[in-house]
Order: sequence, then structure tokens, then C-alpha cells
Amino acid sequence: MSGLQPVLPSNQAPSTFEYGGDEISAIVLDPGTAWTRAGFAGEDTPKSVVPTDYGVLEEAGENGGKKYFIGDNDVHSIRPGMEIKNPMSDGIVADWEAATILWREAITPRLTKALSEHPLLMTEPSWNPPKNREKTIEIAFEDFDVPAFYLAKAGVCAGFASGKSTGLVIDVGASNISVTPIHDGLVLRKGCVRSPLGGDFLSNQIRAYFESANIPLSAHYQVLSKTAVEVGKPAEATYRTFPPGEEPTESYKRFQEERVLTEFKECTAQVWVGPGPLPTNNNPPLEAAHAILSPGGRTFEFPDGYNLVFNSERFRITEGIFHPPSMLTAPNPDPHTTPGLNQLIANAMKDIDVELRQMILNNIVITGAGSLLYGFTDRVNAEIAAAFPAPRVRVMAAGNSVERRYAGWLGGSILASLGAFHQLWVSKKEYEEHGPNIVEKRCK
Amino acid sequence: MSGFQDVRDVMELSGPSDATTRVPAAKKQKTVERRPDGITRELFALLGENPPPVAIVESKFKEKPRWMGKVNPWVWKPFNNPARSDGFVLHHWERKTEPPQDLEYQFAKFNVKVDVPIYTDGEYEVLKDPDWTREETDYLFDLCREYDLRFVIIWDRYEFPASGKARSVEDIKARYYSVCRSLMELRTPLNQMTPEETQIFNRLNFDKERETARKNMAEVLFARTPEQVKEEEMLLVELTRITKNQARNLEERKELFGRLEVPASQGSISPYTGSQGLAHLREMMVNSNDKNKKRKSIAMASNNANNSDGPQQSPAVATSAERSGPGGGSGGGPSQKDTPQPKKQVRKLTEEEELEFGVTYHDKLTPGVKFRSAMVSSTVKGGTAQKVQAALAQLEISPRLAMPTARTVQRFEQLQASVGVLLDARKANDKIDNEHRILKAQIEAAKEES
Repeated sequence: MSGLQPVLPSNQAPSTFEYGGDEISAIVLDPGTAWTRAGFAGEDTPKSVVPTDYGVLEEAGENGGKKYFIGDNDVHSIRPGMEIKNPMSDGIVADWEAATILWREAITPRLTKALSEHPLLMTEPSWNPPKNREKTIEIAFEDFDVPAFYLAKAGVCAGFASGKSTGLVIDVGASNISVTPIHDGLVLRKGCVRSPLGGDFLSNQIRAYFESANIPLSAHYQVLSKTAVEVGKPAEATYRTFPPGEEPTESYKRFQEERVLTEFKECTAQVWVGPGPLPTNNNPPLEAAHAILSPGGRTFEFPDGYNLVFNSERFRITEGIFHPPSMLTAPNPDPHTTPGLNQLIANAMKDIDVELRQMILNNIVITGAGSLLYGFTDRVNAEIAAAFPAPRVRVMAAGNSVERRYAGWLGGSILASLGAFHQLWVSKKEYEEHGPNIVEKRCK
Repeated sequence: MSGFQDVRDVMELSGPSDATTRVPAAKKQKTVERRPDGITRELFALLGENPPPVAIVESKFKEKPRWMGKVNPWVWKPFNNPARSDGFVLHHWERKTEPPQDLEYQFAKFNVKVDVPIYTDGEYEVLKDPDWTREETDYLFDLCREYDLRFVIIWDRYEFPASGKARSVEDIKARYYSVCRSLMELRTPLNQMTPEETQIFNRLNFDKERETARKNMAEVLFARTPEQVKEEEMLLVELTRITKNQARNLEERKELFGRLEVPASQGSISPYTGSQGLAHLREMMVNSNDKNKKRKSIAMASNNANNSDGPQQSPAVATSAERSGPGGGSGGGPSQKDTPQPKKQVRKLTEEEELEFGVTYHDKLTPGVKFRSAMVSSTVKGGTAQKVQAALAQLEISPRLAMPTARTVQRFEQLQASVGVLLDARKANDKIDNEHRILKAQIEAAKEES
């Protein structure tokens, strides 16, 4: 508060109507497949961001139960026998026990121990079934003992984060790409579509490409030291050895490799400009195009020092998102039945009232960490403009990568700090009166 | 200035300089602006009359913060939201007020609900519709209440499997508005309504067919192909261009018509029909356009062509003209100035070229236009001319040439002349023959006599 003194005298109350905010110290929890984000409502970034992947050791906890390792530090440390698991599946919770522990761990160490003093707002994907919603509210009231709870749609929240209550939210998450049309802060259920072509799919694409091209993939934990080598030369590194029986598990190895793949996505992968699919191999336009876009290709160095220059492959690994037949990981997901992003948008628009389409196409919001791929928004813009020539198409994507990654949380933070929102909380009393079914009635 | 005057007084100076110096000095003093605080007098004097070009910021210490008594504390305060029915209490930070006062929650006023009418069982008898059951109508009205009449959302969430019908947005709207309308009419008969109520009543009239047609058209508009969109854009651009330029085009057209109107001719042109008249006219024009250098030079060139100056002189004249042209002739002497300005060189044509281009020279031409056939000037005169005609007619040569080119006319004249010569020769011959015969007869007669 002292920071505000130069503009606001201490004896004068700020006008809450200026921004419609009324902070009640609510907690916002945005559980995703890759990351679980938590923080206080009214702030602009989540205070606590933990990987949703957690480590578990059987029979290591109290009374011989499971021991969980949650959070960046714990989950990445090498422990023999520690399995890495993820409580989410297809963007929704599959393992409730682990999810409960994970959510609590996301909130308590950094935000507050006293969960019973803070209302909790959680986000959910638009395809969350009623059973899961009821289970969620149950956990909130029974396990966390929160005074009030609300379940908001992640798509709507992402729209709010961009200041849109009507629009089309394209969320490129880890497990899915979801397209959610929203109108007046409500999801248009008929137009909600998704496709399993998110960040994990992209990792698998890169993995498949590495395998086909015989590129060895190493993880950081495996390497003790490395020396610089020429491009394409075998790595000269000393690798960590483990005594028999103390090797990290296969899931841990995969989880660590995933970090390298994420790095590859961040600094090497690129999306073809479009519109239209990526030209096939040995096609002069492609070579010409990438000569312009990135002369000489891009070098990527693996943790063991092995490095390579990547050219058109950078485009080929991402092309599956827009044009599933060109995916490298066939047959899972099926390239012929899985809709690409263009198809998703077209499907979503098909089931929207024609009068709304114009407005919705004028307010397209792109969020999700996967959308930070180089050239992604340009491609989406080009594809939508080509598919819908008549209306004016405007695509919005936050330039700030933090806002792009945490848009769902940020929207929830805005929502839970609005004065007019506080009448919508489901209070503990109401929950006790009506049971978990109240979530269906109140959180529309 | 009084100081200055004092000095003068002290020095006992006086004279005409006093008045002359004082008056402008006093004027100057009036225009001088007030010196700003942060600038010394000497510096200000250097600046002159103009204001300083940079803002002068007075170097001052920052003002002491003005503490207005005690800081008002914030309190973590529970509040009750009247918009909630369960009396749930939340906490927020509030300014501490003395004495503590409980104001109504300021955001409660945003809790507004759309007024969706509720009908009774008795009223529903009137609202019956064969397409809708009572249950479905109830369901629809519940949804309307829940989603505050956002019909797109209502249609999106509409799930009433019992009806077995897929309801469109228009179906839902039509049913809702017809129920509202009938209900309104039922409760207050039409003739008892206030003007406001009548207005609302009329607004509830929902034309489903029209709305459906409109939506179909919107669909067509949405599904335009890129070519159609491009064409439409092009047409729009064209239209804006046309409307923008319309005023200008009209103006230009008016001006053009104004120019096309031929000025009425003054006087007869007969004086200028002949070649002499034309020459006179040209002289007049040349003289009137004396300032027009180009025309003048042309005229001069033609004049010089007439004077057989010889080709050697013209280059020299041309160079001198070039030299004197841009420099204003400062370097050239008076004689050069007087010489006529640039001569246009006229090429002498050779005879072949003259023949080729059909250039001919005539000593004298009668003024006026005439046929070339009439140019045939017979050299034969008098009675022979008719005999020549007769002889030509005998030879079946038409007296009027079919194609009287210069050369044919020339040959024709030659022919006529030759025929004339022949006829003359024959005449002379006949005469001599006759005389010969007469003389012979006389000789015969004389012989007989003798």
C-alpha cells in the first residue's frame, strides 16, 4: 500500500469502481496437464507454478504408503525407483488421490497454510464431465475445507485475460489443442472442439523424427561433463553411471528427455508460414522459403554436446498440428481421423449461430504455451483468413510469454477479484445444503 | 529611466539629444517583458527582447511532504453481500472509518435480473401452441431466466429430448415472444394499455419467417468465396472512387464544354483567301507575336530561306545565337545583336529529290482554287485551237484529261502544240499547193495565149 502513496493520499480511499475490483484474498488454481498454477486473485502471475508430473515412491512414506515428490526440486532429483506420473489424462483429472495431494502442494508451501480462510477458484476444461466437476467441489470443501468455491471454464478465463468476453479461444496446451467459442462469458458448448495435437504430441513428433534420423537423445541428468564437438560429430562426454539397482526408472528418463525436447521446441522448431500445408520434401519453394526464414538452418546442441543443424525438419515436425496427414507419429493419433487446427476451427464455427460468427472471428485469442512456437500465430492467422475470407478476422496473442502461458490462471485471477463476482461463489453452507450437484447449477 | 534622467540632471546636461533619446527608450521599456525569477538581470539583458529559448527551471529543494495528520488504517473486514441469498460472509480490506459504519455492499447493485414473465395454469390455456408442450415451455422459460434471455446461449444449452424436435434460435425466440405477447394482452387488454405498454407490446412481435430468411441471407454472405469478396471489395473501391471524383469530373466537363464553344468569327475571311492575303495574314501574326521567340525565329528562318544567303553563313549565325542566348548577349558586340536571330537551314533539293517529293516551282500562280485540268494552257491560239480540238477528237483523245497530273498535263500540252504545228504546216502546204496550182494554170493559160 505504501507504494501507492504518491498518487493516492493516505487519507483518501481509492475508488473501487474505477476497476470494479474487490479483493477478498481468494486463491486461484489452474490445473493443467504440464503445469499446475496457483496464486492469489488480483495478482498478474501465479505465485506458485509446479509441474503436474510428480514422482512417487512405493512403500517409502509413513506407514509404508506412497511417498510423493512434488515441485520442481523434488521431481527432478534422481531417486532410484522413483516413478514419474501424471494425474491428468486428456486434460481432466484421472487420478484423484494424486491430484488432491498435488493441488494442496501447489498452494500450501508458497501461498497459505490456512486454506479454510481463502475462497478457492479453480479452472476446468470445457469438456470436463459432470462427475469430475462434482468430485472437484467435493475435494475443495471436504479435503481443503475452503469457505467458498467456484469452478470456471479455462476457455472463458483465457478470454477474460485478453479482455474478451466474446470470442474464440484457441488454447494450445500440453495434452490438447482446444477451440472454445465464448459468448458473454459463457462457453458455447456446441462449438467446443479439441484435438490431441498439443505439446505432448509435438514432443512425440520430435522423438519420432530423432529415431528415424538416428539422432541420439540424451538427458541432462545422464551427463557429468561434456566437451565441445564439431557439428554432427559424435558426442565426447562422460556419462553418469549408476550402481546396479539404483538406476532411475524408465519414466524418469522419459520425463527428463521431455525437458530436452521442450528446449528443442522452444529454440529450434518452427511453424510453416502457410496458408496451406507444408510443401513436400525436395520441393524448391520449401528450400527457398527456409533459406529466407533461417539461412543456414538452426543448430541445436544436446545435453551431451552432440549438435546438429536442422533445416526443413524444423517445419516438418510441427506441420502435423495443422495438417495431420503429415504427422510423423502415425498411427497414434490416427492421422486420418484426427482433425488439425484448421479443421477444429472450421468445426467450431459450424456450430455457432451465424450472427455470432462475425463477432467471434473478430476476437480470436490464442493462448497456451504451445502457441509460443515460432510462427504459430502467423500461421493460424493465415489459415483462418484463408478459410473465412468474408468476415474480418482478428487474431490476438499476448506478446508476453508469461501471459500466454498463464492466461487461464490470469483470467481466473481477474474474475475472482471482481466485486460483482462475489455473489457467484458457492459457499460451504450452500454445498452442505445441496450437495456436490450444486456445481452444475451454479458454475455454468 | 528616471535614473538616467537623474544622471543627466546631475551632470547638467540638456539639449535636443534629451528629447530624441528619451522617447524611443521609453517605448522600448514598455515592450520588455518581466524578468523571470530564476534568471539574473545581466543574463536577461543579453537575451534581448525575445523570450529565452529554453525553459528556465528554478533549482529548488523538493517540497517537504505534507503529512495530513494520522494515516488512515485499513481493516480486514467482513462484509455481507445482499446479492447472495445464503448470507455468506466474505472478508476484504476496507478503510477504517470512525465510527464504524456498515454500508451496503457497493457491488450488490450490479445484481440485476431480467424480468421473465411467470404464467399461471389458467393463463397457459390461452398460451397453448400445438408445437409446444407445457413442459417444454416451462423448460424454455427456466432457461430464459437462467441465462438472462441470451438466446444464443439458451439455444446452445437447450436439451429437451422429450419434444424430439431440434429447436432453432428462431423457434425459441418465436415461442418466447409469442407467449410474452399473449400474456401481456391477456393481463391488460390492448385498449387499456398505456403508450409505453403498447410500445413494448408492439416490440414483442417476432416475425419468425423474416428472421429465418434474414439468417439464411447472412449465411450466404458469410460463405462467400474469396473471389466474390475480392470482387465486392473492388466494386466498393470503384464506387467510392466514382463518388469522390464526381464533383471534379463535372467541373472538368463544364470547362471542356466551355472551351469547345467556338468564338464567333469577326469579319469576312475573303481578304485572306488568296496567297497574298495569306502572306499578309502571316505577317500580321508574326508581328503580333513578337514576344514569342520561337515563332519569330521560324519567321526569320523562312525569311532567310528566301534570301539566297548561302549555307556558309548560317552555322556562324547559329553559334553566335547560342552564345548570346543564355548569357544575355553580354559578350557579343552590337553588330551581332542586330543580326537576325537563328536561321533555320533550308536544304536545297536535288532534281531527283524534287521529282520524288513532287516539289515544283511556279513563276506565277493565279490566286484561288481550281482543277488541274483547267491548268492546261493551250499554246495554240485562234482558229487552230479549234482545229487542234477537232484533230484530237478525230484521234479519239478526250479534251479533258482523265488523270491530269503535272506530267500528263505537260505532255498533253506538248501534244496539243505538236498537233497545232502539224496543222499549221498542212495549212501552209495547202496554201503553197493552191498558189502552185494557180500559177501553173496561169502558165497554161499564158502558153495557150501565146
